[in-house]
Amino acid sequence: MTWAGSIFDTAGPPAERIARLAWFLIIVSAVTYLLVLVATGMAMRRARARRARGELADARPETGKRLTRNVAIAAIATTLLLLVFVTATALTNKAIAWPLNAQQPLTIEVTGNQWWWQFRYRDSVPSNWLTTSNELHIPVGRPVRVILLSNDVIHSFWIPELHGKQDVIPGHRNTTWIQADRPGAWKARCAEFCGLQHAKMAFDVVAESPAQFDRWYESQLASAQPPTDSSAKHGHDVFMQRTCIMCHAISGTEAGSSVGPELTHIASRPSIAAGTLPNTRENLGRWILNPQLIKPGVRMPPNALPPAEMNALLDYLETLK
Amino acid sequence: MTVVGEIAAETGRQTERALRPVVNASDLPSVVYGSRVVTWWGTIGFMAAETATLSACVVAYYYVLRNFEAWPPLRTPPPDLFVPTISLIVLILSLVPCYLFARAAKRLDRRTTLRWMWVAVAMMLIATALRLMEFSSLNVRWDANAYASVTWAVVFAHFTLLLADTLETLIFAVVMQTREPTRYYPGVAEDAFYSYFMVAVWIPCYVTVYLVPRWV
Amino acid sequence: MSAQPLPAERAVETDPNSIASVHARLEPVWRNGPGLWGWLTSVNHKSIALRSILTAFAFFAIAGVEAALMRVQLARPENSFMGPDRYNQLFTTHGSAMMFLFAVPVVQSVALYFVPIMIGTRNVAFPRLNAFGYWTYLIGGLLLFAGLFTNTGPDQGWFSYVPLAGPGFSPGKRVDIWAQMITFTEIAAIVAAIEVIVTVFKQRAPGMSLNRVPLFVWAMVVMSFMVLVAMPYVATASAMLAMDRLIATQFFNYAEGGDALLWQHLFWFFAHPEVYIIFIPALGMVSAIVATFSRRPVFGYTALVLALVAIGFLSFGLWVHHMFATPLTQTGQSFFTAASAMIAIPTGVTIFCWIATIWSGRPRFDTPMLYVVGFIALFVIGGLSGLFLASVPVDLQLTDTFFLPGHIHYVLLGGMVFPLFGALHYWFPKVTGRMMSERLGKVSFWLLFVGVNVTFFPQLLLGMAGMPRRVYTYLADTGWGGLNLTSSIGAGLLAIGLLVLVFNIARSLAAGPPAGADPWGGETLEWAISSPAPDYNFAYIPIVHGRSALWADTGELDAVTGLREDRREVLQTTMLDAEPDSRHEHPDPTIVPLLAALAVGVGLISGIFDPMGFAVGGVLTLIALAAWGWPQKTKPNTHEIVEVPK
Repeated sequence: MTWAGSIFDTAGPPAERIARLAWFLIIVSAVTYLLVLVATGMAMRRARARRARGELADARPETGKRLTRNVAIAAIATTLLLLVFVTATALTNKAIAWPLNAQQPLTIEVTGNQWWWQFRYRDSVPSNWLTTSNELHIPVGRPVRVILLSNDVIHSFWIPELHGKQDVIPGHRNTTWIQADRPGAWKARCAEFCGLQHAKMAFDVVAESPAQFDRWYESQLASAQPPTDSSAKHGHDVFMQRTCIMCHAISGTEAGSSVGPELTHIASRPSIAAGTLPNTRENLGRWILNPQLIKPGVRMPPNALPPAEMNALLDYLETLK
Repeated sequence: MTVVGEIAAETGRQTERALRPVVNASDLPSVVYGSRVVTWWGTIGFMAAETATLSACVVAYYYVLRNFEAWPPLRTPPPDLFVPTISLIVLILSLVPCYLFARAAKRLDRRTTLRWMWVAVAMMLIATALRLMEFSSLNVRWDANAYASVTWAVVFAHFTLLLADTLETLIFAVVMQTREPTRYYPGVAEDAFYSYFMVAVWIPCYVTVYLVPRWV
Repeated sequence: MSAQPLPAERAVETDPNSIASVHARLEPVWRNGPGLWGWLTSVNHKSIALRSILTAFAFFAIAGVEAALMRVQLARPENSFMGPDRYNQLFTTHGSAMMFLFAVPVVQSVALYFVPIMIGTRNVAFPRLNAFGYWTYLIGGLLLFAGLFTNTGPDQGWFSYVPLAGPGFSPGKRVDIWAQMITFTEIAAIVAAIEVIVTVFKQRAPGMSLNRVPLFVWAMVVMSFMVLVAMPYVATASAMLAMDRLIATQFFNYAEGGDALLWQHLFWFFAHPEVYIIFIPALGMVSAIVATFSRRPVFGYTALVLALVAIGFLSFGLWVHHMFATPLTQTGQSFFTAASAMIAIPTGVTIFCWIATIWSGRPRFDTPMLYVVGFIALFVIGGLSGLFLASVPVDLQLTDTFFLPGHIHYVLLGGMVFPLFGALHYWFPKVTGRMMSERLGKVSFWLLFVGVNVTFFPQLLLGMAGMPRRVYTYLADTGWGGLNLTSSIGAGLLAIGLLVLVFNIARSLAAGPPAGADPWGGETLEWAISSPAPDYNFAYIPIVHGRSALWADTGELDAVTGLREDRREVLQTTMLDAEPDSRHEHPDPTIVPLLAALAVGVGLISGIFDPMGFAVGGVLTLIALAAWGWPQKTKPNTHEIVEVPK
């Protein structure tokens, strides 16, 4: 079943196991439900017939015994079914635990913010640590240990295609893991109510071959190239002189704040504003001009830049590949 | 059950059922004691709810405790023991007059009831005053850290019970002094019953707030 | 089954007075005072319960309109009908109002109305406390909606997770209003629970030993015990939240050693049983309806009582299944999965017993019975979808998605609102003296039944499709538009069904045919007296000779005389066997409960703005309590018979 974006559109081992258990529950529930409906319907029909014949309620002791037996059978059947349910749950739960024999695991720190995501790829070499925002790349076939941290309130980290959710709780260090078995691009959304823009707190997930992933990683590690054409240079100055620099970081420049998402490679991202808008020049302009129209309550203030400055700024941002 | 089945054939009836008096209740007592009175059961109900409230505070105390390396946290002195212990002793001793006035109330002995009630009221007022001093014995303000907050929560939650019990005893004492309605005697006896509870639940709270920080 | 053996010396000859003259003497003693003052000072359980039921339905209506507005907003992607701030206030107050201001108060009020009549007494055990409970509930409800209508409605979700609900991320007064609303309604709920328990324990009609107590009453007793244990936890938690916000305590601030998960534990330790607190009374209502309309007592009385008690106990062991996505050990997860599965066994037994009752009865499918069948058809979906959430791995996928609102509405609408509407059609004649229209009743039933499915089944699917809950909008490329639109259309059906129901009520009130005392041929004592019931319920206290009080005796009922008719007096019986034990004088109407509630209200509401308000309110409350304890004027010829213990 490929119901895009659903919990059945699986792309990794835990999600796969869970989907199987979910199917099992759906079938068991459907059968149980039908049995209850049939029993109720039969009871109603039988009793209607008795009323039609003008008989009283059946209070004979032998009927009572029969009813007791049937209720007991139903209760025992329920109990057995629940035992199966508990066992299946426990087995699946064990199967989706972090594989202890994981080969070359990748470790990523996820930090939830109102209302965007930050990812920090850990590496044995500190200078190879990589920080990105709202975009998560993972190599196919490699287990990824995910450490969940929050800067403000509780969020929840959830990629339905890969695994169930885990809460991101300030003051607690929660963990989960994911692994993609096939390449793909998915949207992941915050799953714990976290305030005004909980609805627009998504990120893009890209699973790609290890080679592609390594290339991506290298490119992301690189600092931003200084702009070459004059408009982009002007845009760079706008960025550094206007309010942008107060919140955002672009490595290789003096912009180093971590209040908002870092933008070193923003032009290479599929979407902006935490998965809210496709990353086009027009959208980016609209967003910078007045984010409050698109995502009311977001921490980013409106920026009434003159058209010339706005154009230059967009030119500059588009160089940040 | 078979009889009932037959009866259930009938449906609908316009008029109320006729009543055939077979028992006369006029010589049943109207002043009884203990579990025969509704107020006794009501008191039990409130005790259950108050126990749940206090237990929620105590649960919070131990839950928060797990977050700390040191308990009380660094640079926070543990609570003093002197005033709280005196206050605990006064509370326990106040149960003696409570017991005595409850016993007298059951005999409708107004003089003895009143005498011990006023003694109990006096001791409870002392305990209340000591409890107010206890807050400063905690040696920390409620907003300093989570340790301070849960400590204050336990002591304050019980303080409301102490206050309510003191006030109740006081009101009963005044009513008995000025009016002496016969039907108040069971209430007076229950008031003592509530005091036993109030003191009993304080003991685990006392251990938690004052001794646990010295042990862990 | 034979009568309880009664002491010979208490048996007397038939009272020479006619019942009519007894009515004439009791009426002036028990009726409410005249006019507005009489309304404010009433301590009659039926007056108070009825206004409480109406209040609850008023809040239900407002919260229902909120739901409809939310469905309009979600009907299509990126709708601009409302913004996130409005939406968040709506879903928070919708959930809070439905749980705290509608569901719990309404089932407790139904209990406070019918339990005393069903067990054959004249009033609840503590009439003034009962009035006090209603007033605090009313103040709490008005506070919440006053907040909403002044754009100060809570917006942090009905579960108020910290730190989002804490001082750092929810400045302003919105969350404070929520926290105090909780305190008000918890006071009211605890008070009502004590009323029910004590009334049932001490005021049952002679002969109604514990093994003859109607299932409806048993359900209400179990619910009340659960309230006593669960409600203090949320009251304490919300007080801690308010203190964190108002006087800077650090209960939930992790920077100072507090803990966000402490809130979740305290909250869910209350909120999971809460669902069963709502559901168990519904089981009682279903039992009453099934018996009457199947023309036989419910099959498996003992099994049902044990099941109710078991559900009550088990419901306290499930709360962590709301927290499977927080850091937990595997052992802990398995324990709570098993506990959650276990509660399905007694729940299943109750349903099997009703099916057996219908199977061996000769049922009539009038509107109340239709609602029972609808209840089975809907609630079982709710219960089965609950299995998905009890299973840790599947829960990790589905929790906090739209599967949850789908599931909880099947449980609450199917499991509680349907039985409640059945009960409404069943007891309407008793309360008003008039019958409701069967035809309109069936029309509204089918609209609601179809409406629930059209609204909430798509939500189960949306959850599986990955749509998170509590979102004010979603993007078009998600593909969730169709299911959401279907769900919104279903909400429209629900609204029409409810309007038909309201119309039916209004028309029946004005012009319904007279009901008579016992239109259905009922099993329990409320059908022995006229409709509407007199202020004192029973002229003489009836004596019960079997589990089915009115089916065991078809003609005259044995009764107790000798209660004083010149003051409010009730009969107290022993707890287990319900033998006559003592008489108890009840208070006359008084304004003190209202004043006490106002004093509490001043304290809790002004405390939001200045912590000194708590102190002022505390002092006022103490004064009110002193007035409460002061003896009322004694009646002439008061001579108490005192039983002096040995």
